[in-house]
Amino acid sequence: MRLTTESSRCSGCKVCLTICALSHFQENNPKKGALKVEGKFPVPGVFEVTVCNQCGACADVCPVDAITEKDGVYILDRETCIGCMACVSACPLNVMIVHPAETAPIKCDNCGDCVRYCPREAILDADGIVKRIGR
Amino acid sequence: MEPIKVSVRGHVIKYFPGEQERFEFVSEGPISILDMLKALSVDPLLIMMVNVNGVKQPKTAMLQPGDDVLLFSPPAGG
Amino acid sequence: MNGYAGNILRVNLTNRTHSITPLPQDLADNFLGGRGFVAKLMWDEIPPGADPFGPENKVIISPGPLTGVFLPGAGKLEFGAKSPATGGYGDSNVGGHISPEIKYAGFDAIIIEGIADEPVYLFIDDFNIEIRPAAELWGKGALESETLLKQDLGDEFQIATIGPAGENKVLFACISHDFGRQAGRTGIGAVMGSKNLKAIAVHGTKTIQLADPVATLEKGKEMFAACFEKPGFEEWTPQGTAGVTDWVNEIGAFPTRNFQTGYFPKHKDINGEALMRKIKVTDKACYSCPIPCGKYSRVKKAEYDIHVEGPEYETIALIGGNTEIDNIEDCAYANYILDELGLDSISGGNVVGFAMECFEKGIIKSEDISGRSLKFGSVEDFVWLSQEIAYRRGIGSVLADGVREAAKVFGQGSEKFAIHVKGVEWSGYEARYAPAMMLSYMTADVGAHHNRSWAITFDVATGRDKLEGKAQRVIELQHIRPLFDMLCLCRLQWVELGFELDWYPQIFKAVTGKELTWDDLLAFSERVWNLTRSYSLREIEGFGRSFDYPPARFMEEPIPDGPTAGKYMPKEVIDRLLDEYYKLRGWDNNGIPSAAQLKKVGLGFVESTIAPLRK
Repeated sequence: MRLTTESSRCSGCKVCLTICALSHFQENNPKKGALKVEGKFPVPGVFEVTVCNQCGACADVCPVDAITEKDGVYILDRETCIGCMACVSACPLNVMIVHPAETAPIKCDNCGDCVRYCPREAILDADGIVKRIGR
Repeated sequence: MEPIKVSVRGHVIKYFPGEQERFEFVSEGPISILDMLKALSVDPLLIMMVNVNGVKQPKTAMLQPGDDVLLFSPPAGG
Repeated sequence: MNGYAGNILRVNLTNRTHSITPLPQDLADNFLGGRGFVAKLMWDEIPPGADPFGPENKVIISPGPLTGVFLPGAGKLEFGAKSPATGGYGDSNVGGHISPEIKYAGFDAIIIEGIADEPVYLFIDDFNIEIRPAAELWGKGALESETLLKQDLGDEFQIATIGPAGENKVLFACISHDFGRQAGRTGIGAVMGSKNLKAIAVHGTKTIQLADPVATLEKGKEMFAACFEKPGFEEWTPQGTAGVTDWVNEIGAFPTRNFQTGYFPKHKDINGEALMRKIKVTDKACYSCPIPCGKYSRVKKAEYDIHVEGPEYETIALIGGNTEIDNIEDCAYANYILDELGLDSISGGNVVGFAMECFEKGIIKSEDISGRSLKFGSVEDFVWLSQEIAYRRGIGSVLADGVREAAKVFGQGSEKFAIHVKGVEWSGYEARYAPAMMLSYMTADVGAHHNRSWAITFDVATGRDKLEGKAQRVIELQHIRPLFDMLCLCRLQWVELGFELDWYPQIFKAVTGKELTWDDLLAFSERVWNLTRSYSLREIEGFGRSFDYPPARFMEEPIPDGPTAGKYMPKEVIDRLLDEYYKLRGWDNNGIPSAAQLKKVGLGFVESTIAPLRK
């Protein structure tokens, strides 16, 4: 599965952020979701959703090799991470998420829940394998 | 005869037979939406909008066997 | 406390102090949240007889136990205060994203008291609370102020602002959020203005504690999946609530020419399709909503180039039909003007329509308005008058107190077509041929507003000539719909999508750990309904039955044309509806709850206040 987006479909509901955090941290806290939803208001009035494309730039700069690749997905080992945040500034899409209650940044692991539960199908699997529930 | 596939969206479901949101309606031939609602004992004024096979149609439109009909409840204000 | 953030924030603007205290368990156990907290805190904390614009009035803001949680439509927020419009109970809710943000910051209620000695805004960043100067924002539009605060603080802050109308204490000033969502009714924006409080900015990072996070995730997934599978899940969204415009005309209930009639011949030029085809930029959702009703629009013309959220149905009805602005572009423009001024678009369109009828009848004369005119159908006149109202200039100063008060000043029979109940202007449904809807407006605790009970399809389905069963259904709806405002959830999933009410106790259990049936939850709502009635009885001299009547127009004037031509609701019919309603509610003939009723719903503590009012 490769995550991709169609931002023109996004309505800014942030279901993706809430399910991401609840799935991975068992916490109801969209501030711990590993993607970004931004509204450009009042002008021009569009939403922009940004997801990790597993480019690996984060892994390249990690001083302790806490981010490793498996089957094309870069996984952050939160135990190994020392919280230096080098990956955060290295991320070209700005989707290494920092949260004040977490020492490690928060990274997408390509689980696909955002694709399954985005009501608008604004987040998609470019390979077409994972789909919104009911599709 | 292939039945007409009817679905109802929203709160007026409760005024349909059996309160079903999806059901099939068998007609001997083409029938208008108004007549179908009459046969179901549903006041056509309860329906805000009708899509037939994904296209908006007036309540006077004729339905053919096999059509997909979607009946909308009115939303309640802003 | 599971489902709750666990704290109440109290801010005193006079002393510039604040405190954070634990949420009392008994408040959560007995009043759930949102509207329930607002009603109980108002009863307990605002001294009887308080001036709505005095320091002792309080703005109370509360999300609910399900707000911000992973389930469809979990993004509503309740505002409350002693209303300057009703003189008694007042509340209003808003969607967008600020309600969850308040919970993530750690609060189940914010209580704002006192009056600041200069314009300020309230800054909340988790537990970092500041009262900051807002002199540079004072006088600016509500949307512009939000833009400036976001530029200053960052996009992650959620903002609620007032416009000039709130600053100038217009009795239907709203609170604006998320570039076009408003807590519109009962004038709470004016209460903010009276406190010199221009805005509230909130950012939070905390986690909402759940009784069972795994069960909440699973139940939330089931609920979203159930929404996705509903018939027409996507087909309704493109037009949102504007999609109902044609239908309301079809049944002859569309407010037209200040509620002179129920059918607007040009409705197809201001309907959902016109909005969708001509001006919509994007669908815009509140937090966690799968069926966004919000439509964000742009209109570019030689005279103006504006972005606005809307117009949604109510705005289309009250601007489009009620003042006969017959094209969607100008409706959107008038909507934008009201939003920026910080005027509720329901009351705004109603008040302007009232003034236009006064002009038509010669009650307002050209010389009263510097030689200009005030004509139905003129967007220029609409915009001009809205500005006069927001800045309380000239005749605008009279109209800024709403149609009830303006009719007292204008006289000459204008009170017969001042379309309000309890001082709050009527929203988008002409009800002369809809008895349950009429009764809904008459008995809503915040005045003539549809969101306590919306019963038009019930009227149609059960017969608009029949009175039997109408009061019973209104009471049921007055418990169901306000319950959503206690949980602070949107009711559109239920009404518009057909989402089953059984889902809510299930997720409520996963979130709070409390096992309550839907009927148990409805009992909380009945308690609050009796409490808000009691509050208005306490605050308004002579409050009771006489405050529950519709304007004379609806009891005396037959609708002149359209599908409901000839229909009206004579006073004896109105009285029959009221009699039955009071009886079923356990209220006396004057609409005062009996001692037994108060006890039954767990409001023993109000009895000593209410007892002397019974005759």
